Amino acid sequence: MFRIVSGIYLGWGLGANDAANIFGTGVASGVVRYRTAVILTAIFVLIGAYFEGSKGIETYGKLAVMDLNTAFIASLSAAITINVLTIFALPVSTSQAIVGSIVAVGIMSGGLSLKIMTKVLLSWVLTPIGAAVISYGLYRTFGWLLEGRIKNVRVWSLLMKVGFYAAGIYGAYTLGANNVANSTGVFVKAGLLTPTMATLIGGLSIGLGVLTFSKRVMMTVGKRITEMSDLAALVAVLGQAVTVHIFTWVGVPVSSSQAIVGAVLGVGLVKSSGAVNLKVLGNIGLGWISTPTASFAITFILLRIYSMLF
Amino acid sequence: MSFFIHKKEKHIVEQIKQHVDLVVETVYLACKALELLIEGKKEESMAHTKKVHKKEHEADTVQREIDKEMFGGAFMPSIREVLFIAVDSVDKVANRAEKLGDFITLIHPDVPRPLQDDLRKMSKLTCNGVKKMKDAIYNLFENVKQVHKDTIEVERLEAEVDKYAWKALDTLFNKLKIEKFSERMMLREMIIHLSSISNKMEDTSDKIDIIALKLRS
Repeated sequence: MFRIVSGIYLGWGLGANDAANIFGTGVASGVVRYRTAVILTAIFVLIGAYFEGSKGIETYGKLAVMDLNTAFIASLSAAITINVLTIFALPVSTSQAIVGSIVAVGIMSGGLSLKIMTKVLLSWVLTPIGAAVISYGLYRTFGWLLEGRIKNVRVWSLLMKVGFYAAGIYGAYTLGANNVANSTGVFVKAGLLTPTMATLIGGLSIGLGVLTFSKRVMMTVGKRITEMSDLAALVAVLGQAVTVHIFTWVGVPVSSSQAIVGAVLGVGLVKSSGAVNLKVLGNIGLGWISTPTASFAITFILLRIYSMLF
Repeated sequence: MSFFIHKKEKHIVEQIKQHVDLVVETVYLACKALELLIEGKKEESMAHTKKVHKKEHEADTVQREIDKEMFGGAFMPSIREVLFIAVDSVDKVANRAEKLGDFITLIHPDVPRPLQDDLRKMSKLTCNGVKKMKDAIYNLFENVKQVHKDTIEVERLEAEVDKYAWKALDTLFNKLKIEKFSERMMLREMIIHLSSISNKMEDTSDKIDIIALKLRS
């Protein structure tokens, strides 16, 4: 049972990092109090994980054949990857780290499903693109709906604040639903956990990360997004949540950080076609390659050491 | 949840309205003090300037409260920032009125007859302007579509005040026979103090306009 620690650690790191994409804007701008934000996020992450988290777990189960030890190594390698890449300030995604690890296990054990692999890779590429398209559409729609209908400053502030709370809660739900598989998914296939237990333990560990260590990232990411207008920032958060939710239905855990980057881009495109920042796109591309490659390599090395020892 | 958010902002809105009401009263009192000075009732005029001081101080106190509460997270950040600047600008209108009051208290010059009409007109237009500025602030929280009409009116009135100020200065320097240059300069300073109130109102109306525009864009 101790092997789950690596999964809990992954979930904790995920919660600490990704809560920023949900309530970062609201907290950094003072609209939502940090304590309120983390409590709401932790609660709705757990609810999302419980109700819709099993789809991603199923996908990881089909991606490669794993036993208890290889599942532990995969999970541990993903956690190490996250830490190492964070130290080097490289773009990092838990989903991509765990997939890199599972693929390494799959190749070494000969049970890698190329069909699922293709589905996962396609989802990664489509995440920022989908988020951009969805946010673009949402921004246009909200703009059209609200134009000339805002009676005064108070109505506007109220509407935006309620919107930030709603989008944040929805974002937390989709984060739990989509990303819980990254935390404990590998242990289901290995037979250590049932899907329900996996979603609960994973959801709790993500929630723990949100509650204990998310403030710094939340303020950093939030302040960056707050530079946008109120409506644009709200739409970016909502667009990210919708995108992540769609991929939850598809059954592939994706990066909420890459989704928010795509969403911000989509909102920017409404006002200017020059909003496409090649450096940002390059960072996403780098993340697609560096994270799974690093976790693949670490898993490969650890599996080699394991097979030599036992 | 929305009820609590709304309650917090409702209180600040009441304070902002109270603040602008106090600023309007400050300007009215300063104009009244000027009117009494023009009529030669210097003692009464100086008594009014004390009231100007008191009102301006009350407005300052309310403004500090608004600042404190607004930075506690009321309104959206984009609105909060410009609203803070607008409230500060409204307060400066009261400061200008106070300066006119100070001038009257300290110098209280005799106002020559040829200048009286223009000063009265300037004073009346200033009072109308500050009333319109108040409407613009109120409409930010009631009917934002009306705000631009109010600010346009403030600008129009400011231009009128400038016109009479120029006329008064022309009279002072080119038509009036005043022996002492210092007396001439003192009267000039009084005209400038009076016109600076409406100049500040115009600045404020620009800031109010930005808030209204933010809701439209």
